[in-house]
Amino acid sequence: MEDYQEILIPYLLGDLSEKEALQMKSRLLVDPDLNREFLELKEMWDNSQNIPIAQAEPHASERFEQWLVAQKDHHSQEPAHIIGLWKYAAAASVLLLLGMLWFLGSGPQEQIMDQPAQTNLLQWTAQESSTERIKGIHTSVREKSTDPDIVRALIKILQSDKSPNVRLTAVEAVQSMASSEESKQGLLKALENEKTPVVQIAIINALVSVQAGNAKEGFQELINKEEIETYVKDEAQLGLMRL
Amino acid sequence: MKIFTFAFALLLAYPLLGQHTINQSSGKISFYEVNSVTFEGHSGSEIIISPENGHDFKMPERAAGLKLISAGGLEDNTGIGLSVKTEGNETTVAQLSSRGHARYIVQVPAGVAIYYECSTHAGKTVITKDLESELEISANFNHVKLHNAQGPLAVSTVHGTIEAEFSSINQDQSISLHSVHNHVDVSVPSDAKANFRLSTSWGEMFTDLDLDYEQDSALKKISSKKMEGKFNGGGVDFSIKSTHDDIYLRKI
Repeated sequence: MEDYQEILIPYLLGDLSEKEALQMKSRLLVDPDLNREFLELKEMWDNSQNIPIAQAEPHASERFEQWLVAQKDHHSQEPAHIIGLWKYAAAASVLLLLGMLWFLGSGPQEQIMDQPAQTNLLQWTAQESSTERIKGIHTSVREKSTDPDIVRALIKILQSDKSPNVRLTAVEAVQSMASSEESKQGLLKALENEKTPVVQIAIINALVSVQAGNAKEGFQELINKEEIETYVKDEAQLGLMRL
Repeated sequence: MKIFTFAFALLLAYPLLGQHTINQSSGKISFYEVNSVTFEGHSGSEIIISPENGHDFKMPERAAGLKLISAGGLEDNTGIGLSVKTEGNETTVAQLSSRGHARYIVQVPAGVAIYYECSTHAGKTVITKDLESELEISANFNHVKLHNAQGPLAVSTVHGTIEAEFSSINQDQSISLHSVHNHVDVSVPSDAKANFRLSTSWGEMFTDLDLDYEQDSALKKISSKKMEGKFNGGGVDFSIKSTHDDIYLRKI
């Protein structure tokens, strides 16, 4: 066992053989830095055991997985830094583990505030409370108002969150942040699937606000649909005139 | 004397005959297409739903001995025109009679979050009094009146007005009030703390609050009728929006 740091987590979880565990134990006695790192990890792990398991809402897990996939896709396009592979995997595992624990147990808000903006938004969207998720959108947008990843994240919220008020806030946030082609397309796609009139109207107005010329066709389709409320069609008609 | 006692007992019991009690002090209660509701905060550990006096649900005489059912297969399992289903700490309430004029008074413990959704023209004013729970409303036609509100709140209505009087502002989570076609009128205590975000496309904004906003926001206020301002140094995110009508923000 040349690098004891690499097997801290397996040791913590009791996954080492008896011989390896004994070696690790001896090493901890003579290596104060390693011992401190181990104690910090252990404390974190012990604390996580005390987080109460919350009742996840029906679609929260699905949303969380969508977010993880989105994160993975995004990061796989970036060049990898040259660091020890095992170290990287261990760190990722700890982060993932903590993320899942947080997701299951609704960890303290301080944990959220210390994360990067996109991770923040990811974590906020797993909250059971709608007003908490709305707060998350406001916080993330305030911190990183020009980050294209946040726009992507907001579009995903708009397409998947079960609360009309959260989707409404996502529309307003997208509208306030950027007028990129991606955000316009995202809004248009959301309009196709959106069923709640107040959100439909907000999307129409957002598309007009960012002067999305290609929204005309989408507005016309909406007007032609029988199941759409008359007052939503009126808003689309008004939007057509304003574009 | 016995007759008097019996009559008195009946009088006391009368209000209990038409009410439904749910043993729940945490979690969430969701209302779907219940036209007319008043939510009241209370210190008990049960949710109590009762028709308002004089506006209670009445079965037609011809329906004597029959059960009210809905197209979705729901049944009136409360005797007051509602279908109530509880699973764990989640309760769902639906109104069966679309022409019912009953207003339901719902007393809610502080730990129970409320979700209210109503899409039809039959939606009446949603009233809240002394509510400490999280409240979310998604409506198409209902007006919303909030008395002694604190938040957290997420309220949206397409055609209704929103009038909210806050006794204090809860600094957890967020508050958002949004009407598409009608005005939003909000009163807050003069010492409340909030980050206000006001927005209207076609209306005007009126306030007597001394809001502290940055230079950029001040310019935006003139051009796009959107502004952000801190009140008393800032606090919880408090969003007020009316797309086609005016916004009133006043201090008490």
